[in-house]
Parts: sequence; C-alpha cells; structure tokens
Amino acid sequence: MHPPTGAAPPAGRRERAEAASDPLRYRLSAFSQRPEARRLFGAAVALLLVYYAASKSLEIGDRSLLVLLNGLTSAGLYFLMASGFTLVFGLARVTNLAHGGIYLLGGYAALSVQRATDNWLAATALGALFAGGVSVVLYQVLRLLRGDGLRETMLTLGATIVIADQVLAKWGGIPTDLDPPSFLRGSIDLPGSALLYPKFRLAVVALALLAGLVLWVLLYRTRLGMLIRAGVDDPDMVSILGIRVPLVLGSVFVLAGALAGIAGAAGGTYLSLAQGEDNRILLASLIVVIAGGLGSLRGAGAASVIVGLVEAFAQTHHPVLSVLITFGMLIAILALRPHGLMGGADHARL
Amino acid sequence: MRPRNSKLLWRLLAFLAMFTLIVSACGNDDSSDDEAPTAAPEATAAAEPTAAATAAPTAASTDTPSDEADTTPRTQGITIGAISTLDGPFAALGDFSMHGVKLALLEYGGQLAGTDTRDGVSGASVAGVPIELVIEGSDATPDVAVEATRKMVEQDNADIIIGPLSGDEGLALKDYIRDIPDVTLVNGTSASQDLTLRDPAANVFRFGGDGAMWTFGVGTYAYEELGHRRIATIAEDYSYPYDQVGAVLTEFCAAGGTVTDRIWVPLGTQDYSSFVAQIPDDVDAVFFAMGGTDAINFVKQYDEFTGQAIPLIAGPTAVDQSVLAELGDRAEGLVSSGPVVDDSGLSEFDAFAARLDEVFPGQTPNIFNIYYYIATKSALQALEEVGADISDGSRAFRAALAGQSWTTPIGPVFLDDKRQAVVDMYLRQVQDGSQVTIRTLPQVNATLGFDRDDYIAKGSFSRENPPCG
Repeated sequence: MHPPTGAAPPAGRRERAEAASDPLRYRLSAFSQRPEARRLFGAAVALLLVYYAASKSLEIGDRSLLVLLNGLTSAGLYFLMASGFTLVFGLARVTNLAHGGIYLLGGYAALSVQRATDNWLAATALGALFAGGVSVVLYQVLRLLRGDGLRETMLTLGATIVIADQVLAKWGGIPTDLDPPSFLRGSIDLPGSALLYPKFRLAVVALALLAGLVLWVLLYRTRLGMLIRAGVDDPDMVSILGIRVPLVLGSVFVLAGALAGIAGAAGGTYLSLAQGEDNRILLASLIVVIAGGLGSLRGAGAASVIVGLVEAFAQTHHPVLSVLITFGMLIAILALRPHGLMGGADHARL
Repeated sequence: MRPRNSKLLWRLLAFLAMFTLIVSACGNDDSSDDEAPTAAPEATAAAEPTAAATAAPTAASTDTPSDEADTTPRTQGITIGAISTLDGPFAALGDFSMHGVKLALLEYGGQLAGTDTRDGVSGASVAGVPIELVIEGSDATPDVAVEATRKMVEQDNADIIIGPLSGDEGLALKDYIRDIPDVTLVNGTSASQDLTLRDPAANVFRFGGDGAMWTFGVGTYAYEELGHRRIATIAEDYSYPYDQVGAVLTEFCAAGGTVTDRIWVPLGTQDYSSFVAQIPDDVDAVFFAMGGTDAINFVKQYDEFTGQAIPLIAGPTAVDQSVLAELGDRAEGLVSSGPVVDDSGLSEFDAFAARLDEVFPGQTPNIFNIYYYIATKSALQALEEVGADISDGSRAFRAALAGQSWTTPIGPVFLDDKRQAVVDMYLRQVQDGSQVTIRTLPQVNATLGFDRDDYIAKGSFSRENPPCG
C-alpha cells in the first residue's frame, strides 16, 4: 500500500544513471519526449519526401497528373472497403476478414443482375443490397460467439473460404467483369498529354466522395449516427441506457456490407472479378485500416488517399519495390503513431 | 477503457502478413535462377514429419522409396494421379486440364464416374490391366502441389503423376519426384524451362513446350514482317514471364532491334494504370506476358488509357483460348505465338474438339485441356506398348514413354534425350475471337534452335537477362 520512501532514487538522479548506462537510448527517449523536436524531425522528413516526389514527378512531366489520378482512383475503392471495415471494428470489435469475400459476392451479384437487366445502376444497387444481406447473416452467426475476438476472427476467415467456393460453384473460375454504364464508357483526353483517362475511374472517385458524405451525414446528423458514435466510445454505457445495441450493430453490418458490395461492383467494372480478388482487396483495405487507425472513419479516409497515392507513385517510379514501399510506409506510420493516424490507445476518433 | 486495441492490432498485423503470403503465393520465387530448385527440397523436408506421421510407419519414407514400395501393399492395376489447380485464382484452368485427362482415359474404355471435376473415370484398362484415376488439386503454390502429390504417391499408390499446371509447381514436383524412382511424372502445362533444360530428372517427362518455346518466333516476326525496331515489354514479375520476355528479346535483339523498357509488375496487382503510364510514346510495339485475370485487366486498361495507340504483341497464355472470350473485341488482331490454333486443319484437332464438346458440352480446345490430354494419352500408349507391366520399377515403361512419337491434336511430338518434347508452334493472330494461323513453326526445340551448350551457358532468363542494346 505505502510505497517505500527512499527506495527509488529521485527522478533527476535516475535519469543521469540511465544516461550513463545507455547514452544512445537516453538521448533517443529524451528526443521522443520533446514534442517540438519530434515535430521538427517529422517536418524535415516530410519536406524531403515532398522534394523527392516533386523531382521525380518533374522527370515524367505531364504524366504526373496521370499518376495522381490513378492514386485517387485506388483511394476511392480502398475507402469504400475500409470505411465499412473500420465501422464494424469500431463498434463491434470484430475484425471482419470476410469483408473481401463480401466484396466479391457483391460484385458477382451485380454481374448477374447486369446480365439480366443491362443496367449498371440497378445492378450495383442490388449487388449492394445482397452484400448487405449476407453481411447481416454473418453478424447473426457472429453473435453466437459474442466477445471472443479470436474465434470471431477465425469464423470470418472461414466465411471467406466458404464464400470463395460458393462463388466458384455459382459463377465459375474464369475471370470476368461488368460493363460500365453507357454514359461512363470510354475515356476523356488528359490536358497536355497524349494519354487518355477512363471516365469510369473518375466516377469511382466521385462515388467514394459521395459515400464519405453520406456516412458523415449519417454519423453526425442522425439519431442512428449518434448511437453509433456513442457505441464506439462506450458500448457498455450505451447498453445500460436501454438502447438495443444488437439493432445498432446489425445496421452497421448492413451498411458495411452494402459499401463492400458497391466497391465490388465498381472494382468489378474497372478491374475484374475472379477467384483471388477477395484476398487482394482485403489486403489493401487492411493496410488502409491499420494505417488510418482501427475504428476511425476519418483515419480510413486519410489513409486511403495516402496509400493510394504512395502506391501509384511507387508503381510508377520503383515498380519492383512498390510492394515493399507500401508496407514500408505502413511501418513508418505505425512507428510514429503506434495506433495509426487517427487511432487512440483505448478507442479511436471516429 | 479497455486497452484491447493494441492487442487486436498485433493480431491483425499477423493476419496481414499471412494474407501477403497468400496473395503473393502463386509465383513465390523471384528469380528463375537455381534458387527455386534448392529451396523446394527444404520446404518438403520441413513438412515431412506431419506427412510421414499420417502416411507411413517409417519416418523416412521419401529417403528410402524402395523400402516403401516393398512394405505397402500394391493395389491391383495401375493408378494415375492427376494434379492441377482446382482452387484459387487458376481454378477454371484446373477444370479444363481435368477434361483433357478424362478424355484420354475414355478412349481406353473408361466411363465418367460423375460430372464434378473431382469425380474420376471408372472402367478404363490397358492390356487388360485396370487403370484407376485419382484427382488432387492445388492452389498454384508449390508446397500445396508437393503435398497433394505426396498424398497420391504415398496413400493412393499412384504410379504415374500427370501435372502440374504452373511453372513453380513443376520445379517443386521435379525435386520431389526425383527421389522416388518408381513413380513417373508426365508434366501437364508447367512451362518452367528448367523442368527439363537444366538439371533434368530421369523420371520427369514433358510432352509440350516451355514458356520460351511457346513464345518462339514472334520476336523475329515483329522485326522482319511487322517492321518494329524499338519495343517495350511489360510482364508479371516471376519466372514464367521472364522466359517469355527472354525468348522474344533473344530473337528480336539478335535481329537488330532494341528494347527501351522492361516493366515488371508485381504479382497481385489489379490496377495496371501506373504501369501503363511508364510505357514510352516512341516505341513501335509493346510485348506483354500475363496470365488469366492479369491479362484481362491489363488489356482492358491499356485499351482505356491509350486506345491501343501502340500495337500490342501478346505472350502465349495471355491470348489463350481459355481467356479469349473474356478479352472480347480488345483482343482482335493481336499477334502472338503459341501451341494452339483453331484453324490448323489437323484431323486430330477437329476430332478432339468434337469429342470434347460431346463429353463436356460447351467446352472448346485450349492449351490446358489439350496438354493434359497429350500427357495422359502418351502415358497410356507407352503402358500399352509394355503390356501395362511396370513391375520392373517402370524401366520398360519409361523407355517406351521416351520413345513416344505421335500426332497430337496440335501436331507431331517426339522427345529429345532430356525427355523434353520437340513440337510445332504456331505464329497466330486473333480474328473474330479465334486464333488463326499466320504460319507454322515446325519442330521447335528446348534451345530454340541455338546450340545447346551456348544456350544453357547464357543462364536462366531473368529481369535483366538477356541483355539487349
């Protein structure tokens, strides 16, 4: 109960002792504890990176615009995936590794609808609806394991495999894709360059912005959003207040599933649908979610732009190293901010 | 409140690492040098305890294969084990290959045991000896292929293995099967050069081309007939595309052409836009070597970003009949070389196509069903010649197999002294969704017509090899 007085040396002496025994470590820790030094260091590194990126971009001249747009397109797709993933994590504390599988299901469902109706918008809407439905079924199964994080994660991993096999049985293993809607077919000229830019890719960026806007309105302007935010902050207190948390959770799962379904339809249009795409997109969105801070929607937005741009830049200038650079960036972010860009030790800033 | 975030973060990072491995799995060796063959035995050695525990009472079952053959009771007849990619990104190709295997067995009195890919063939026999078919799948990763083959060898007592599908799987299986002299491997579509070119194994046979042979001829054609002088190449970053790019550049540079850029795309890339942006404006043509999804993604995006302003030259599998329908109009006019054309006029080809459609309605010939068919049929013909007697450790059978010389659906085939096929290739062009012959390239061999020692001394194809001005 009573700490023995005099046992621990006064703070000043202990610091000096540490400095003597391990000078480098002492200096490092002193450095990391001084916010202005850290900020200065961060600014210097950022300046160097910006200088490097700018000089590299000048080298390829008019194609820099292309690289920028490519990065933003990827960012759009990543955000559609990561926003749902991070919402589910923030509220239900479930790392839903089936999110990639739901992406694939949404895409293939949209493909079937498009083949039947030849209408991309209807296909995407129904694909999103279907993906949302699957997501809420998954939530009902997960409820059986409430609270056991590892088993929940394993269950979602198993669901990925089941979904992939079902997709293989229903739609076959030959890669395929959706046709963009007629008004988004074709490409536009990029100013000052011989290259073209596909209209649909620009639409993906717009779609992601729209999704971000809708999510913001939902979270900050509606009662459901208030409950979600409260649930992220303090789930126990919210349930004590008599709010039916399972209902809120279920709606978040539907929302996340629908976003993944929309991403599946969009990705299935400008990329393609095939076995294995689920793991590719899951990997990318995991990077985004971890870099942004688990559970943080704003973090997911910021990180998807950063990851998209860094990826596009690395693929253009250092293609062979591009995968390493993307992961290196993740490591750098986690080294500076161990909980991600906008994550906190206990709970994330939504 | 609950400091669970950090713990979960680490857990999630672990999963992230795992998924990276899965996604990058299908071409897991970065260099086509001797690295892969040496790496594979280590992997098998590491996996040995579990397999041995389930399979055989003796732990060192693969080290002393002759003992194993003595102790395990041999079933009546001969067992053929077929392996292809029945899961993962190449699952559709796995289905195609099994069609080929089954078609060959049907010619020997077999009947389909069911409609599913994994359902075998019953009732087939050669010289009165019943032939049993066992089917196993991999996901295109070498370790899974080795484990599946080990299961067929140790538990199903397979005598002949047909497969695998992809290049790195082939190298891993060569190293596994080398130590089991009673079992014979007849390759499916694994196109890695070094399955037979460097350090061959006595019980490994390939009745088809490799990645370089499939690409033979197109480099010379691009220079001499199409008049291209400067090209860029873009391909996936692993050994099989190295072989294709290597073969094109070997010829193209020997003719006097130059390559401005060799762009290597990491496996697992969906979005090719940033790679398309690197293709310079001032080249005459772009050679691309990709497979499956990657080919569809690349051609679509190249078309959207450039309107195909610079003409494409395709790698052999990028415009294989198995993906041609999905490529659609964008593939029209693409020139490539490869083993399969739709208008060869060979009666064997037409008969194969008719029979395929009859047994598996709607299926059309492609590299996978044809190659697996050729492999299986070659093995069955050799068995017939020795009266289906493999009691001498398959020696007579293997001699008969090495002597196979017959007209396949894609032309005549015979083997060289390294048990590698010498086969016809076709220079071809996509017209109305089918591959039309430009010219036949007769009897292409493993060294593309160059002197064997010189060719081997140049080293395996890699990102930088062959050098070119």
